[in-house]
Amino acid sequence: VAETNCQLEAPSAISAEDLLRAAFKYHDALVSYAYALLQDWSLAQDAVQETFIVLQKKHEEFKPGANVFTWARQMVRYEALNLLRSRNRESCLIDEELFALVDAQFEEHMSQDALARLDAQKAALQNCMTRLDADSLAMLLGFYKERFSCDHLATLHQRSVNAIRLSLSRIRSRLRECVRHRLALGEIKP
Amino acid sequence: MNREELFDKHLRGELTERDAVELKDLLSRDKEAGRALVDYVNETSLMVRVGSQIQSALLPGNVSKLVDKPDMARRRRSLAWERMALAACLAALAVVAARFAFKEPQRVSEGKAGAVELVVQGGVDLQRGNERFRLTADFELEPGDTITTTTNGKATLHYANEVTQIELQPDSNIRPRRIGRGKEIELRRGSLQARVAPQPKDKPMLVTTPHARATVLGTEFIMEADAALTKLDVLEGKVSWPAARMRRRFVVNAGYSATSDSRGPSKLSPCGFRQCLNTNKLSKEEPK
Repeated sequence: VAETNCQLEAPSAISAEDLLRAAFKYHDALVSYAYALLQDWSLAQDAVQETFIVLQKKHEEFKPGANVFTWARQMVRYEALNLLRSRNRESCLIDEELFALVDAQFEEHMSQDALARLDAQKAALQNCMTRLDADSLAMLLGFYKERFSCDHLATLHQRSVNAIRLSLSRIRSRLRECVRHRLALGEIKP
Repeated sequence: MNREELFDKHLRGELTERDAVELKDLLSRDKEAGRALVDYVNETSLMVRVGSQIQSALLPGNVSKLVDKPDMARRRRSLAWERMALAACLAALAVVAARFAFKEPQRVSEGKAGAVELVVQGGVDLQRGNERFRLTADFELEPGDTITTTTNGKATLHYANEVTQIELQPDSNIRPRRIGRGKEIELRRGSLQARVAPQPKDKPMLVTTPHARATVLGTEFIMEADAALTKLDVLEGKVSWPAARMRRRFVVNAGYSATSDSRGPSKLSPCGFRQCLNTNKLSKEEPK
């Protein structure tokens, strides 16, 4: 992680507001990280929301000059574990080795560059996703956000399971291509 | 199984023991796979976030006003020039009147704890007690002030010491009743879009309208109210919403809408697509 770029400039103590403001810039990245750990979009949002509350309370513990994203990410990790434990889902969700491995990937690959890329990617997606038809959007959200099974989606959309799988794959490819195209055009600058 | 299928299974919590071994093995030995996983999760996460916002905007209730009132839309277009000319005259009159009749309120004192700064754009009126001002600069609010935006005006409330902000749309009227801990805003007419930083659980933010009282702990939402109906669209997080007759409150999750009128129960729209109406899993009741 490129620590220096994430550091707050002022070496003096930081107010809760400033810290929250600085951490909020990484909201998307933190939700994404929580999503990878918790494997559930709603739980990920809860974990990040809880993190911001704790972050506000513990702002005095933040060492000026430290990396805000790293600090917030550690809190999300803690909240994610808490959520998993409080929901009594250890048996199916806490594969500690996998949890640690996924955590390590984010630690290694969520550099400042990657965070900036995420902002640019989001801006591009906002444009690309408005071109999706309502049915495709519902399918995509049904699969990832609601975690509907392909069988259930097939019933909802009156299509075969294979058609659903194929559609999901195509939608993602189209979106990826659109984002790549927009970023390459320089319309959305990181 | 290809890499993306494996990542999908992970994100959906569907990994079998064998899949988990495969994923662990992949992440342990292949550095590039780790990067691919991070990229894939980021991409998926953004798709869900952006997609939820778009879906919310596509909900039938959000577009019904335009569809239901084509005559008004046509009339609006045909009167556009007259209105522009009238607006120019009124603006000139307002400038003259402001010089002679209105007192200019003081600008916001920066950094004051618990303060709310009102950033104005276009025509924004403020009523404090019996006095009414046309605001021409940013302004510090007090509880009980009433803010009215004209048809070309917008106002944004910025709360000090947190990232909460509320954007008041044109032709709207609000009254912040409390602005410190335990914020309360009365939306009397019009529309607002709010991004609310996490609030203390014992002091949530309340948004009231003639028909509803929403409780917000930290989220992003749009609320519209007129004499007949209040409509809520939750973009991020959750909002607790009343259903008067049923003496219950509902939690309205991101991507979902709720309405409430003077007759009572809220109408929840579990998602924007008709085929999903009876498969709602996200809105759940909670005891009042």
